[in-house]
Amino acid sequence: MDTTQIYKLRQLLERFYAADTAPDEEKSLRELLSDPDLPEEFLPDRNMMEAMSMLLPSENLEERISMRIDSFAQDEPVKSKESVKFRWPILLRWSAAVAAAVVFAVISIIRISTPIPAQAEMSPEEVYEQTAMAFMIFAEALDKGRAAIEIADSTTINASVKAMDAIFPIQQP
Amino acid sequence: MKRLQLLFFFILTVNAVVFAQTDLYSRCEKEKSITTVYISKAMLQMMVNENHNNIDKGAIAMLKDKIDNVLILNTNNSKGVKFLNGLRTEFMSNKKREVLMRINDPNSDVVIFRLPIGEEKSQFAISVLGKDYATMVVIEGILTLEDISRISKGML
Repeated sequence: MDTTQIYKLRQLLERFYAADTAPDEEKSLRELLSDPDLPEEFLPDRNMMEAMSMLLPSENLEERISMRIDSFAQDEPVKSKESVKFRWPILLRWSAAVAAAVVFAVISIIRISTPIPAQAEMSPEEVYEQTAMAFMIFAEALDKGRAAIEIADSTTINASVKAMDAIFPIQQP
Repeated sequence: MKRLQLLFFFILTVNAVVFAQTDLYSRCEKEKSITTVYISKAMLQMMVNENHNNIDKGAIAMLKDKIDNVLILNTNNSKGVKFLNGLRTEFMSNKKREVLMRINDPNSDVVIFRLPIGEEKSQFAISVLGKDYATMVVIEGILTLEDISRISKGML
């Protein structure tokens, strides 16, 4: 290592410790300190620089961070497209539901406004006959049902009595 | 979206309840093999006013206040019997409709149904199937089977 280099090294170290060095100067400083013919007096500086370089971020970190940010920026429009895609089915569902409700409401209104055809040809006497017949059908069925229940009841009672009669002689020898 | 769906189902339910009888009427009216008679509340009231001397006072009050409408379906041909049998099967498969009574004797098969259609209102239906005839009567209103029995006795 010649005197010029040693002089440059001293200057750079001064600037480095004063935190005035530019990245290029720091690079030169590291190169000078890595010289195999470095005088012994600079060995602590070399060790310190090596230790610091271990803590320094890797060379491409800035580039990688920039690339990552760019990729995020590129991903964003894709996401917004996806959200647009998601909105379409919701919109369609809403439209379908509204359309169905409107159709249903229209049908209901039409049905409300369409009266049941009146039995105009029927006289009050005929209505009386028909109504009486309708209620009679119900009443007859109910009477039939009641009669069937009574028969079932009496059959059950008779069967119970017969069963008791059959059991009684056995119990009293 | 959920609100809209709820509204839609509410309209559907109201519609189904309100137009249940008219639906049945319009369906049966199209079937030419059966005789369809629909008696509305207004017609019932007119009939009661015209025939109040022939009807018991208790029955008059019930007919005026408790009955909304009466639908009578009658047939004596095989096609009509098949139609009313299908209607009965449909009624039986409806879980909301309750089978109150079933009487099966050599001459006929009778089923009485009840369908709640409101807080107090009910639809009572009777289906009578014979060998060569079928009858179905559907009555709607605030009534019980006991009321139906009383009205029948009051109209004799």
